[in-house]
Amino acid sequence: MMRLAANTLKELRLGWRSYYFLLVVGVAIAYFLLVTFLIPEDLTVSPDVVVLNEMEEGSQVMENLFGGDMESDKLLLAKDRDDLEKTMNRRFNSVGIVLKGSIREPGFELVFQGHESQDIRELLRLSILQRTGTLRSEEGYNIEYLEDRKPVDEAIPFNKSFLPVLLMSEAVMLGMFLVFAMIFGEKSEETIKAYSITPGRIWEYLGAKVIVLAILGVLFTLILTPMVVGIGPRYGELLLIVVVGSTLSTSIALIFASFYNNLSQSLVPMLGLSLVFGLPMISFFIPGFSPWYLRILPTYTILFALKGAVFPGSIQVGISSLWLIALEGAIAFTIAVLVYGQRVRKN
Amino acid sequence: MNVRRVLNIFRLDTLNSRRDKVMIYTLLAPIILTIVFKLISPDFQSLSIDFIVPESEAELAVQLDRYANVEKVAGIREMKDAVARGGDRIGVYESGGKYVLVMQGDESPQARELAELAISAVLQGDTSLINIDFSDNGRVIPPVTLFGFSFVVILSFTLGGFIIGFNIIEEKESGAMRALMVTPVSKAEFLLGRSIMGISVPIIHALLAVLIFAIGGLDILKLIMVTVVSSVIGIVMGFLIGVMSSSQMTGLANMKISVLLLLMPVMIAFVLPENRQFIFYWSPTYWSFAALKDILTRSAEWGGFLLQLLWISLTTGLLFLFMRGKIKSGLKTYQS
Amino acid sequence: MIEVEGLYHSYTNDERYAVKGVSFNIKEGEIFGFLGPNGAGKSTTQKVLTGLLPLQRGSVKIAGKDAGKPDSSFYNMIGVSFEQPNLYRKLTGLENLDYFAKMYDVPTEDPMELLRMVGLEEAASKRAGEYSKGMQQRLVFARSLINKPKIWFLDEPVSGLDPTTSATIKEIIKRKKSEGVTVFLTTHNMYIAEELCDRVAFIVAGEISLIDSPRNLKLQYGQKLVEVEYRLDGSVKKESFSLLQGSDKAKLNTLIEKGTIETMHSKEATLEEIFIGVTGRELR
Repeated sequence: MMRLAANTLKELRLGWRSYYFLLVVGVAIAYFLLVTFLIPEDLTVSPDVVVLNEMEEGSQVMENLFGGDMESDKLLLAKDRDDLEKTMNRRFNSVGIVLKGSIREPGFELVFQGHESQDIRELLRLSILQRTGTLRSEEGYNIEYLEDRKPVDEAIPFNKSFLPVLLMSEAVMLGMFLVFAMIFGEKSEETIKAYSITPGRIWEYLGAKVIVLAILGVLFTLILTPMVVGIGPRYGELLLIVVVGSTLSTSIALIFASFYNNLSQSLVPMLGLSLVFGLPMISFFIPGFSPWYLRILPTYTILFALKGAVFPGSIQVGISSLWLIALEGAIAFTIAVLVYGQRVRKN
Repeated sequence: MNVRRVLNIFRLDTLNSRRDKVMIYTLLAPIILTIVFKLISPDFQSLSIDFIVPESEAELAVQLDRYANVEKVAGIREMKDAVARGGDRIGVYESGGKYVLVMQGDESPQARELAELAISAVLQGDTSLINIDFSDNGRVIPPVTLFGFSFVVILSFTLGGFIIGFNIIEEKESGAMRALMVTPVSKAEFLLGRSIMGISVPIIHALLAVLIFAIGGLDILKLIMVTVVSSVIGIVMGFLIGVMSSSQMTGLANMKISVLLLLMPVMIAFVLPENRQFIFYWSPTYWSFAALKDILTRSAEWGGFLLQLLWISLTTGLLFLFMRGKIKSGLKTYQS
Repeated sequence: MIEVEGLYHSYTNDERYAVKGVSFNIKEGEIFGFLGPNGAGKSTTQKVLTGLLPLQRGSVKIAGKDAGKPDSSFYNMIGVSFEQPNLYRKLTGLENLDYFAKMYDVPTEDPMELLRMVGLEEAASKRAGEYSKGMQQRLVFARSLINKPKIWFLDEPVSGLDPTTSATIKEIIKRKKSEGVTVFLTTHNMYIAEELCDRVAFIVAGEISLIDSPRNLKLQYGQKLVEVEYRLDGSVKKESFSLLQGSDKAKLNTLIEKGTIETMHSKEATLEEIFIGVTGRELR
């Protein structure tokens, strides 16, 4: 234990003098500013709508159709066909609606970019029918929720909804970057050789790095989270998720780092690893996109667990799902210790 | 300027990169990323809601298929299991003469709304007195391809820049650079020799991305121009990291900050509405992204395009000027 | 204390050996030198003895412990001073020693005392990265003593050091020998080997050519000559006289009686000359 403590103290000193603590604090503050002042509260990824009114006395129909959305950023009015096309050109995520005919015989033309699937086109058609009152919500169906859980009434502001993603990429996955530099620093200084001729164990040497990176992750979490969402989150659960997640990501990165000697060699694998483990962020923002190859990634569970801890009640992924992550972390760490034991003697 | 010396430095870089397999990684990684984007693109394009329907509801499945993906499962229990797996997946079955929509509870409000629309259309029979036609502008490049293509090109020159930076740090640590500094190689020759890879590789990646995404009819000249001008961003960033960082550890910390400055604006600008994008006007990579997007959507006219190139150059130049003091002090330590 | 029998090591896991059939024994309290040119196999041998390289073939026992399976007790007993400084450059000299001290299960030296011993007490709170090469070398040397080792491995301990610092290092080595520490010293500096070692082994291309004390080697291979400078007719003459040949002995006696001798040196062979003579290779 004393050796683990000594190794941890060494890593803390090295991390401090390499400005890692400053980096974490700086990034947390930068993200707070980004989330609070730059990212809007009410953004959705739904397309912009560009409307062209070719209908006689169409302004009343427009008012009925779009009502309160008339002032929205996402609704634009085109002067003519050419203007419609040009506006849609500039906004790649937009859809055009042309009002035709007359009040007695209204008609619509839905103008798509060209890549939209047939399903999307049909659903938009239904949406227009609903707005015109042609399609009414029928009484012929009920809604049933699994596990007696009702949806969260209050929508989470878009900017704050970024927080679990930021916690995952910076607090949990911080180790994925920094541990490479820590290992390569020691390889280039050959201090790992000096350590090898002491009774110090490999697990104490690597364990200290895992601990310090978890500390940095916790620091980041404790700075950013209260600034963004105050005292709402379940902090105990949140910190546990960060520590378990950080242990896993650092251990995996340690295994990879053992095969390289410097940063330029390992840069692409390092970024590749971060990219793969960061993929579940797509599911986070686009819930409809959660194929099996994303769901099997441990960061998928971690990300949604973070969401549950930061916004209690928003999701049903609790602490129990962390057992598997903790086990994966323990296995990864064990593998890292074995790999280092082999490679230190080889080199 | 001695071209032979410049080419010699380029040859040394290539040799080092080849030996370290860095060259293979740098060449392959963006290509692999392009292929990944290409592979997941169909999943994105069919992104609406998924209905999960028991096999006994065959007719319902046919009707719902008009509006969404429909997955058939054995029975109600299997349907509930599928819904519980998450995402915007909604189960439907009939019970007591009514349809029941089964949700987990974490579906997005849009998904719930669309599901209710679809089931209402089925119930009502989807006949309509209103004439609704479809047309399109023939722009078959979906948003994910747009984003993927731009991201790959930007990543390519950013990656090149980072590698330049880390090579410099390693030479500092080994002392190899001091040997070069006592030869007739001038700073300009050194810079140019180092930059050749940083410019040529992104062009290769951009052209390969066009092939892999099978994007026809692109203005290749504009694409090459924006790639070349944007590559300077990566080179400048790389030199900054290399010169300012005293060790691999601080190099990585500086790289993290660079990722925030270079890649984050691109990722956020993709989802921000146009009227809010002014917050990223300081970012050279934002302008690269804007130019690439216009090229892909075929809305890039020469006047606007050249203005974008000018903005890329100006913002990169401003960044360089802003960091000039740090570069000077970093170079002094480099030489000593 | 150290028993090595039939040691082989190949970096490529084939018949190309860096160390071939090396065997030697070192008694407790002895300073044993491994003398050879670069690439001879000195460092490879030392790395196998210290557990940095796996034991592929042969037997190595250090104080009765198998070096092929080093455990904590093995490392508690040895100290290693590396040729290339391998310090934490961002930690101070004192912090470096403090950290390594905590790695051992045995009583350790006071880090400040060690720094004082090698003349680094003024630089104790300076970062190791700011030390000169000589200072870093001294710090590595000091670190190798932190656990009061019974067996001490030194790799080129005075390489790159100025004469004053070298003298200090040599004094420390001699003092440790008198305290009963067994020293395994690898070097290509024959003066160090001559001055410090009780016995030396000549190693070339992975094989040991001979093992003996420097004195015995000089007596065995030396030429037994005396080199004399003397005045004759106003100018200084230099001549060598054999101590074995009668005519030379007579001439030397004559010069001594005349009182014209200005300098006189016995001309033993240097270890380098012996090395070249025995192995056919230079000590570089």
